[in-house]
Amino acid sequence: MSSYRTFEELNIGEELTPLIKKMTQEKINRYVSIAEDYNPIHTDEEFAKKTPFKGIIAPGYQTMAYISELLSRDFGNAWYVGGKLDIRMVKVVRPGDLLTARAKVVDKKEEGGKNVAVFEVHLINQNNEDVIIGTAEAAFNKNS
Amino acid sequence: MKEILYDDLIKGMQLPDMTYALTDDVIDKYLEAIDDLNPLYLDEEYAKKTPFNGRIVPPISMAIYSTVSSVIKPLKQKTPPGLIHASQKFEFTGLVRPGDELLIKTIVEDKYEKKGRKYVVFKSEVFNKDGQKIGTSWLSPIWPK
Repeated sequence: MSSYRTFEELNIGEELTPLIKKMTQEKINRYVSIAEDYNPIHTDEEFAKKTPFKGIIAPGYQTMAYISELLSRDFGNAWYVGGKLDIRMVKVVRPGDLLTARAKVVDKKEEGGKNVAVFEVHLINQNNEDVIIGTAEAAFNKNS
Repeated sequence: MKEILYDDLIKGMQLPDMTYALTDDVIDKYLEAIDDLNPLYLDEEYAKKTPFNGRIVPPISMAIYSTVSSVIKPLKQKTPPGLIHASQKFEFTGLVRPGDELLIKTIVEDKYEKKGRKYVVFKSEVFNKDGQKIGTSWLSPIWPK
């Protein structure tokens, strides 16, 4: 599709347009009802309060989807087939948090017959704190 | 169900194979929960006109069936409460389509203690019904006990 970006037009140091999402308890409840993830720390306030996290936290798997959505939006197939993500959850996400997914181009290389763009990725909360950090790669076919 | 403890998990241990059906119901609920309403995932008419020639499922959806609860379910055991997802790697290698019947093969790739915390790494490889690998997940939780 024409809206996807090409390997050639990416510049090292460039920031992709961020993606903003609001986390809510309703979304967490929906997520745990569909995912095979039965951890009371996501849904049971009484239980969650007694843990070192002192309250409900969103599943890491739910929040990392926002980084994937950002890369899907910009790169389509180069992300769906050939994408790599390597991340750490460094801070909890609470219901009500406003999250921004960011990606910055840090390298461009050739690997396995494809053009590969490497990104530093972050998910940041409303206090400008990293909640997820890591790297991602998108692999572009050379004829596209 | 009995809780599975850190000491029960052995490096190199292969968990029983699992299957998972990506039904429209599952996909719709998942997309709502992650708040991603891309028509490429939802609108067949739209998706047919794209180079994908029909709807696909975002590969990050591997997250819903490669959870710790899910991969240990065939052992008829459950995770202790308080397990925390510390880090994650994914490699996406093939398009996922609505209706795909997936086969998931999981091993305990590693376990280690660091700064008093117990970490486990589960490696799950996911195949479609043609035997094509659509992706790999490395899920690393902190095990509570």
